[in-house]
Amino acid sequence: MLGRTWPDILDKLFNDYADVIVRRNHNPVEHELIYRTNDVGASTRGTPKATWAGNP
Amino acid sequence: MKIGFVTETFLPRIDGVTQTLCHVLRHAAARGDEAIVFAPKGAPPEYSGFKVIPVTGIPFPPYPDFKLISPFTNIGPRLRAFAPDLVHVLNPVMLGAGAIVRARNMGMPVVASYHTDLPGFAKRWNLGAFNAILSWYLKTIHNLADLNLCPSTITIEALKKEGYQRLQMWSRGVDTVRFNPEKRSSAWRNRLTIGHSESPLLLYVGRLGHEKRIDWIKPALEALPGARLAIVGDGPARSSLERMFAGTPTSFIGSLTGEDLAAAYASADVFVFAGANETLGNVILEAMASGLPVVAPRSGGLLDHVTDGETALLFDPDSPGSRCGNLVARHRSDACTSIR
Repeated sequence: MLGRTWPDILDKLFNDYADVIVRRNHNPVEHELIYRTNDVGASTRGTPKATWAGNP
Repeated sequence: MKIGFVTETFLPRIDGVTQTLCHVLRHAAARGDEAIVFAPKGAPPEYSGFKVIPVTGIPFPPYPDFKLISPFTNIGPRLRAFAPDLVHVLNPVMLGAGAIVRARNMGMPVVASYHTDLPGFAKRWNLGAFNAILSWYLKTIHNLADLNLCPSTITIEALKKEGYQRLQMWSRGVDTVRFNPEKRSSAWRNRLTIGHSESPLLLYVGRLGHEKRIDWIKPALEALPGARLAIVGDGPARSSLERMFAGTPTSFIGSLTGEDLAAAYASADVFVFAGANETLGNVILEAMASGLPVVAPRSGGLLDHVTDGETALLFDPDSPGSRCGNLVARHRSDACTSIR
């Protein structure tokens, strides 16, 4: 396991970031459903939510 | 890519979260990405060319250099003005928890990373019901994120069992140019051993906190007649440890960084570690890259990196009968003669 160095690992991290952004951009509704399934942040529900597509 | 980072610990405090975030920020700068960092007040105003927004908190009494920051701190306007493509929250507990909710409400993708086994510490300190509440709270916070990054397979498995979702491994690296056996230095060995450079030298590097159980290293030192111990690092337990190790061949070196730290690792003979709740153990990686065998508990993220009996001697983290002193005593002929 030793010999694993930071540049490769960080490249993978930024690829993961990109994947999350793409998934979120392409499936905002699906992601909102995931959130609601797990949501316990009821106090925030009254806050207007921008969809990703409509996010300023 | 524009990334908003939120952390509840940052420079000048040095710990695993800080080190990891510094690596990520340097990498983002090298890639030409844009970033902003929300961090406890006292941090430098910028890092790697990225602005660091100070957030006010109050000192956590057991660890005054760690700040408790309200989850209701309104970082929303600054975050919205920066308009990140993604928000990465490191080790969310208070400020981070609020940041996840705010980022979600603004429609921003959120990545959270799990670094510290707080429920594990609570369990080990017999905090009973608090442990269950803390576990539920952290799981709830993390499950609001699009992705949860974990530093080791053992941590992923544990979190899966607890109901964490969207888990993914985020392993860590070690700088093998900096941490390298070739950094061994007779001057540093002299300093670490206070002039007894011929003696076997055990080394501990890390935060001097009670959770690291550095007192468990004392039997290991006593089991190796003639051996010395160098303790590198600083923290709230330092004065009590200095009293505990008084009269033993132990030197407290204080905090080291950069090339000095690399030379200290490479100039020792064995790395000893007793903390049982490490989700990764950066210091284990650095010690191994420096050519040191490791004595450590059979517990936590370090199990991804060591092989018992080959690169490490592992002891039962909970059984007094097999604490590191006994382990080292059983192996002391090997430990003294063939470790280097």
